[in-house]
Amino acid sequence: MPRQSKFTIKDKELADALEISVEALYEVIAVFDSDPDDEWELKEKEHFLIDNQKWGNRIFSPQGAFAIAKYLDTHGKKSIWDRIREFVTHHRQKIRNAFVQKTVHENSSSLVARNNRHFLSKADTVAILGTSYCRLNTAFKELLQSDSPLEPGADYDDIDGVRYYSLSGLYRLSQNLSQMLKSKDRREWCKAVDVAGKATFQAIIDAETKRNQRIKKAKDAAKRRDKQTCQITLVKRTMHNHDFDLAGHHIFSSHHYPHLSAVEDNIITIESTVHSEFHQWNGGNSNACTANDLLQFICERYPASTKAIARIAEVDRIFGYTQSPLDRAQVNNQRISPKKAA
Amino acid sequence: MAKKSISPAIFNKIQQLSETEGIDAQILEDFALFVLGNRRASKPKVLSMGELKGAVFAHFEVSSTKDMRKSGAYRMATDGMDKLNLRLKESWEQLYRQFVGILPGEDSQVGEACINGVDIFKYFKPWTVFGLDAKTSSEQDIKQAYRQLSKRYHPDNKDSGNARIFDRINLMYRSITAVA
Repeated sequence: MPRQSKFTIKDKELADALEISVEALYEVIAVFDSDPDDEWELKEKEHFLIDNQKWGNRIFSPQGAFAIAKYLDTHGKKSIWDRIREFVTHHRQKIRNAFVQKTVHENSSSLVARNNRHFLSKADTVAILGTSYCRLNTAFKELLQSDSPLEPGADYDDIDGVRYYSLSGLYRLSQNLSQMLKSKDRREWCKAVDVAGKATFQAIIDAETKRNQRIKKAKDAAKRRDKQTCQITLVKRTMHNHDFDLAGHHIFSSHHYPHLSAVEDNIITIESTVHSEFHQWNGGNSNACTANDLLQFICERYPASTKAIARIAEVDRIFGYTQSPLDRAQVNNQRISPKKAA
Repeated sequence: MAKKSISPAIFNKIQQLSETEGIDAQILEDFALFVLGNRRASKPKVLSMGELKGAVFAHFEVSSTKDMRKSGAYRMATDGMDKLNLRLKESWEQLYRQFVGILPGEDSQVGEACINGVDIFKYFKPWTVFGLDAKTSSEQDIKQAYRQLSKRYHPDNKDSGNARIFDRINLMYRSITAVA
């Protein structure tokens, strides 16, 4: 899936979040730009993009927004009231952490639970820490040469040949980067990942758990609706014939059409063996499937299942217009970067 | 007498040294007992609950147990660990070992699960266990140290083999030869 652009925060939105005027925001930016040798830096294509070439308006990444928020927190003049409010509510800190949370939300699609731990792909780890593969490799090597290297299976693991880091591994890496990076705003960013990370991951994990519960509920309801009968072979579970499994099949695959994953009408009860046969026919479980695919499969392999054909054709009429969010993202991405599309 | 007071691991080491270096095993046993006797005489200072907490709080940059429980850093760092009962001192000792360092008195331990003074099930310190310097050791040095330890603890070794220790050594070897 192509990654979305990370530059999503407009100057007005950022100024509002920081409770300053847009003019004051550009004054702060001028300070960043004035001294290239100080520890505060805003880099084009990393922290911001020029949104409007004529007027020089900028659009920021969460890292850019974070750097400005951190600078204001360190250098901004505060009234006594502001200081008291900051002391009581950690207002500024919350704003900074919100930018980190945004990045965590945008880069947690790979989050998986394994051995009671939560793991993220290396690509997502790099994106969340706002660093590069090369710098992450260096941090890993530094930890490897430390007194307590990262522990395989606990801090990182290879899943299907892809390197994943657990939350404890991410913590160790972010801790290392928050001490070793040269740029202050990058160090602070990695430190904030420690602070804001787990709560955000927990929210994502909870949402995923709830979604799975909703899917299970919809599948159970679909099986009740279909009277525990395979809709293709019409084999029913009875006291004399119960030695087979029934699967709740998503007519539009749940991964590619997540908005239909907990919709009862999108689920059909079929025998597990037929279910496996269909997915094999379709090229594997990870391939997207639609009502049209299932129709074609039934016509080829179970042409006598006229009721099932009629039912799936009906589902196709209802949901056939729907588009997978993954395809939508691809189209949007092509719109953003026409060169890539070419 | 001596055999009863020293651990099997030390006894095996004595036998090994006696064979390879040609030193009388009795002299080595006496020396081991002398060292152990002196260690017992100077009991290391045990950290109090307050000292343990203080060190762990400093690591997570918090000032109370309540703040630590809420801290994102703490929650991330302990993700996947067995649930800790923070009213118990042993839980704080576990946190200290994991995030702060070696507890006083646990820096030169002896016992079956101890290699180079480290209890390998309490600490994940591969370089110490392998007896190597992380900064200067070559790939060859690591392999050599690993071979020596594997030979000793391989389950097929009837004298000193131990599957659990062997697995832990393998894990440590993987950790110091891994790539990002």
